[in-house]
Amino acid sequence: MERPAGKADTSPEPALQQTSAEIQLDFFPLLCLHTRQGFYADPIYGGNKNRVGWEVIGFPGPTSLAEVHTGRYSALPWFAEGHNQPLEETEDGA
Amino acid sequence: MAHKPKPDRTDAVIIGAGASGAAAAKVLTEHGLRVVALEKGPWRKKESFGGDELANINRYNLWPDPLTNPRTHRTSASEEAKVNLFCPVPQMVGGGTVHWQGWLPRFTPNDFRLRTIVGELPGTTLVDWPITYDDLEPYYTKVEWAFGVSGQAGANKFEGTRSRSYPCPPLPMSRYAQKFHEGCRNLGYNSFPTPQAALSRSFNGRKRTVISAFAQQHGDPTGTRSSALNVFVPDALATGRYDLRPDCYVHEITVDEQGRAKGVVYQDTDGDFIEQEADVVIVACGAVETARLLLLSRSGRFPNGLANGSDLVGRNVTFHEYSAAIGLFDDPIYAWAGGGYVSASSFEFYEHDDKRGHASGGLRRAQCLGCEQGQP
Repeated sequence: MERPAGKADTSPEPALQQTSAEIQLDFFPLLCLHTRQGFYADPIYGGNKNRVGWEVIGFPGPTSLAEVHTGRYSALPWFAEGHNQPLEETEDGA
Repeated sequence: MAHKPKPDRTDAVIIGAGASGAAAAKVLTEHGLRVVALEKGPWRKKESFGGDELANINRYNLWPDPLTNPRTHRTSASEEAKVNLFCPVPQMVGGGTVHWQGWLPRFTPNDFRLRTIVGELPGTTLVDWPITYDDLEPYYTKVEWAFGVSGQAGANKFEGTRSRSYPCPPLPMSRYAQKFHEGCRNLGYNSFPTPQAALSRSFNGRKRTVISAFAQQHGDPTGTRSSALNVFVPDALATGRYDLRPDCYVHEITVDEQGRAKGVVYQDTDGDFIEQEADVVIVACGAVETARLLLLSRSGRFPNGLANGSDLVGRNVTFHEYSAAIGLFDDPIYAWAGGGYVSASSFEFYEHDDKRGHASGGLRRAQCLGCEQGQP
């Protein structure tokens, strides 16, 4: 966001989009960005049909946002070695 | 915009409901005080969070909208200020703890006496803290036990004396933490599981924190990651003495004839201006907004703003200073698997060392930030 708001930028969008605002992008970089976002974002946006975007990059994403919302979705088997199942609850530590 | 009836005077008004403001609210309300909290941002519930990476990582779901809520930045008074995403952490009930990964190593005893350790540094305003690590130690312990911090007491050999161990054992060790610990061991460095405000087991009625790919910069929809929103705010509300008013933007701290803070003027969600008086005014808006509010609270008596006899309020601010080195491994470490953004740490280069040619040091840690680059 080094430029005054509203002035277009012709450079490609940065990898972490939070470093700029989409309103500052020119048409073509914006089109590329939105295409990429549609392909990799959660299917609830209408792209990434049958999670194909995730499949091609090997990301075992949740089958729905509800899986994340309820805490059923876990990345533990990839995160840490030796955890092929969700962890069992242990007693209260208080 | 009409003036509404002036609300009743209260025992304490706290500006901000983030890490510090909500902690203060818990302590004061549990001691019987009536507290009004004025929070600039919204009061979002965990049900509004979720695993949407586009909203949380690419857009501004939790961060302030940079177009309607811009910040400017300059590095010297002679420079022209430019709009810049400086320190854009969430401004909301819970503050930065809503999006954080909750890494909570303690300061070391030397952090409180850096001026004594480093010596005179021309061109700086470096001073020792007015309190010591020992003064603060009981409060570190209180927060760790309120949040159910997961960690390993004694694992960081540079840590000061602690009065109590961590309430929960360390979280599962990530694959990239394993690499970090192996590397440190080979180099003879001390390393430790980063203490985190997340639950490795159920604690105080909250379940174990889910290891999810949607963690860093996402609010936690399960409410199991520890934050001011999940812990301090509910504790304060349970007393019945916490009047939390979200979407209320404080413009000024007002002072009485003696020059003591007597209340605040804020704009509520309807845009109306309201004065809230209190016996005590606590400013808890984080480094940027706290300084800003003090500077905006000018009067004939305090032309440079409040608490600014030194003229240092708002100067020399720094945010997280990150330097990164990227490592590639032949075997997969699944950096996207989240949860462990700060999974392993070392204080080996944390303490000041004259030989390095700069003041103080830093925490070294293994982290992922969600983007895997070039992994086979």
